[in-house]
Amino acid sequence: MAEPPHSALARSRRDPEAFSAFYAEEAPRMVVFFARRVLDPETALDLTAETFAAAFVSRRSFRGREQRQARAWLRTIAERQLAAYLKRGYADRAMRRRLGIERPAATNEELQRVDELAALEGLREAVARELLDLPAGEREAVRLRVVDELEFGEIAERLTITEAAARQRVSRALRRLGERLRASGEGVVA
Amino acid sequence: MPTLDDVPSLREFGARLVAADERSVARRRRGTTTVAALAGAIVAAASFTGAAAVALTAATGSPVPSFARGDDTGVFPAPGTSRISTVRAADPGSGLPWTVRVGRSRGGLVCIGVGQLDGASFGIRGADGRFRTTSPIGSDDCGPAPRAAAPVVALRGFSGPRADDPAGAATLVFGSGGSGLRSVVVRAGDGRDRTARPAADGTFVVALPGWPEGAASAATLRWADGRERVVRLGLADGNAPDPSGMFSWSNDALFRVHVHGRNSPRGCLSLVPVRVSGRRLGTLICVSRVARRALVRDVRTPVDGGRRTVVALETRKGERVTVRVGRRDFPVLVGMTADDPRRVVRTRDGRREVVRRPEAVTGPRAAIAILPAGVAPGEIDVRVVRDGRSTQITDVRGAGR
Repeated sequence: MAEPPHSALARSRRDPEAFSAFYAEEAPRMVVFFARRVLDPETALDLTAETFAAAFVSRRSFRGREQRQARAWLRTIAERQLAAYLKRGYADRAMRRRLGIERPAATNEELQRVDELAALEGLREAVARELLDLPAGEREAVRLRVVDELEFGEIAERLTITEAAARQRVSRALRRLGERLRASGEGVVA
Repeated sequence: MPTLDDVPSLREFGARLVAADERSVARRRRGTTTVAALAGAIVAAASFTGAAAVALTAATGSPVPSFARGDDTGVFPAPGTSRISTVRAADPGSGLPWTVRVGRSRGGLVCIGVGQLDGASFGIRGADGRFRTTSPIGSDDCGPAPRAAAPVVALRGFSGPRADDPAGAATLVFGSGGSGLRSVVVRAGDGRDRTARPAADGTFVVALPGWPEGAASAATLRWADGRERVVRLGLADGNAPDPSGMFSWSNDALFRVHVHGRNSPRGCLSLVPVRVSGRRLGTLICVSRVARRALVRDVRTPVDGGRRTVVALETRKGERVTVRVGRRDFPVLVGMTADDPRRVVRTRDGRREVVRRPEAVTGPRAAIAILPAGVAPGEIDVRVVRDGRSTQITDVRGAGR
């Protein structure tokens, strides 16, 4: 019988090889988790690799026993990676650099497979559809912030509104998008 | 439920991960990777691609890439003829090193392409961080076998994370001058020279930060037999590199400004950074027609928010204007003012309105140089060269607003 991953994670504090079972169970799920949030297979693979590199380096700090605790612990690391990516615009490589390892380049087939696993095509269509339904002001604010990557001050200047109003518009638009996607069933993520 | 078999690159990564012992692996210096800033969690699907680097190619003597000129004859290196040169250039952003690959077409032409090396693989690391190997028949330029004074020189630019910001962009000057080529000196937009030592086969590569028009003005090639050739790269009459060397300036919309009630006719043009779109009108620069007077203004650049000093002088046909500060000569951009039927009219009460006129209005020609911030008028040497004679402009003053 396969060992549950949580005990594998606990054992990996002393035995790095035990990390493999935990990795085998969680890494594929993690790719889907990231792919549905960043909508790009290659970035999702990168974020997954960095998350597990960070998890491997800090595995001794895991104090739990159950599988769900291990998954929650890993999810915390993943959320941090995602937040950093959304802020900076690129996946961190610090942990991989520290370990001296890199993920090999993914083939087109692998990227296509990630696309399929995360049902990205449907999600992209849903996002495009829902974007069109946003009020024009909110849609423009989202476009300027998310696509053109402008700072809120610049958005305010372009739309001739205050910076606070610009922040509000973007935040309201993203919240509305999220609600609509969840309502349509496309916003469910692993 | 997905498994590692679905993601082989992660499966391999996992094996490497558990084999790594972070306590015994020495810290290795890795190049930072420039990756695209892709859109965030909820984005417009149409804009979402795993964006590769946007490559813009300008071959020798033409600012228009061959594929855009429409003269693509389908010439490419014959399979099996391509080999990677021994030259290397460090990436300006500490990424993978650059080199050149040379092949021969079936018709005997020499085909050259620039790319990065990832181990033994030749390709490009895109702005999204993904390395893509270049097809064996891929190349940037093909031509007759290079020899003394008849080199193949190509210029190629790769954007950084943002298409409207030169930060992170790289410009490659590369080519071949045949086995007799001894040196290649690239004049960068920041005024400093970069020297490249060619390989034994005459191939060379120089990597500079920034966009091509601003990064690399010209290249001087010298051969063992004493011959020399200067190849103009990003520099053209209608643009001038920014002193940072990262981008270039050009004149965009042309406006003539009249101020009612005043009798100082001027010609103005709008100075804009090349490749930056979606911004407001560029900086309005005006030249005086009253006297031979060089006007100096402090302006702000919309690219990096920094300041620059702009010198503008009316110039006449047959003249060439030179601008020097200390020992440094600055490229001069020449543009026509008010060569457009529109004009911006400032009315007495300060309102600006655009008025359309049916006929074109021809204004003075302006010569403009962009200098670093804080250069005082007294430090600027402006001269007009006509029929081989150089005349210094003594009236160099602040333009005011």
